[in-house]
Amino acid sequence: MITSRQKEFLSEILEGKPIPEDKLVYFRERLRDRLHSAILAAFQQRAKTGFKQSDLAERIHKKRAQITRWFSTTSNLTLDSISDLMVGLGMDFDEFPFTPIEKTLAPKDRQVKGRKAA
Amino acid sequence: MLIEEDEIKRLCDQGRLFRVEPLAWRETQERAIYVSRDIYRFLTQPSADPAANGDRRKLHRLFDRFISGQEISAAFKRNIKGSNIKRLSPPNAEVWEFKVKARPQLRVFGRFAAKDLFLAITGPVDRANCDFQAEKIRCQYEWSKLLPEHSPIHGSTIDDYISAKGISL
Repeated sequence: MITSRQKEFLSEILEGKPIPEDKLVYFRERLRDRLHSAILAAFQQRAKTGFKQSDLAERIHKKRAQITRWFSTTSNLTLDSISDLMVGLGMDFDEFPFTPIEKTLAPKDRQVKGRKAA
Repeated sequence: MLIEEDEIKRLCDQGRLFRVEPLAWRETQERAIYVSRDIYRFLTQPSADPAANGDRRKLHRLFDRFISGQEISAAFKRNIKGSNIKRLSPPNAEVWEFKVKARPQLRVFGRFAAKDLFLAITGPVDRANCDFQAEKIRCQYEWSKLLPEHSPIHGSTIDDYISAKGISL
């Protein structure tokens, strides 16, 4: 359920108006968070088979300390480092689905049903 | 003494604590953050300074990341740079900082009232001008005014503070 504060936060986006810079900042951070979480989840999956940060570092020609820095916080991630980490972990995008933001406002169960129906 | 939910609610009713409502509408709420009036103002009131507005969104995003149950990196036993949160020394003071890695690097200070429940009570301050010793004392003092009969939780691993996805560095 989307709250009134969240609706207000999204107002310019939904109304097609210019989006204030501070909101763009929030969404940049959010995207970094999402990619960071996906990379950490992939690493944790690989780690179950004995794959270590040092193995990943070696695969992508980085020092282990650099991998630790990238894993510890989102702030140092760039498109290049995200790509290197993904490839090093053997990950790729199956597809690249951008969803219109309006469709994400519905409760999750409805979103899933809608996707299945499509 | 364990902090009861009613105690937090009472402080919210008195306008001394505010629950952070996530801006991220698609994320679940696995953890909770309550903040002081000053931090709440910083989060919710637009500033005339565009840079300060960006900073408040970055701090809000860090809070949202915590609330939604995503991975949180914690400098817990070693003094490591680049984590999301850090337990300041000495450990038994139980003062933690939430870190926004931007320029300025903002810091807010607080304590875990329970597992997955953080009270951010002082800050935000610019790391460059921050007297950490003074902030730590201020945080403990503000806590004692808010919750005089309660202590923050004390743990020996990050799992004692955050359930799942706490990454100890």
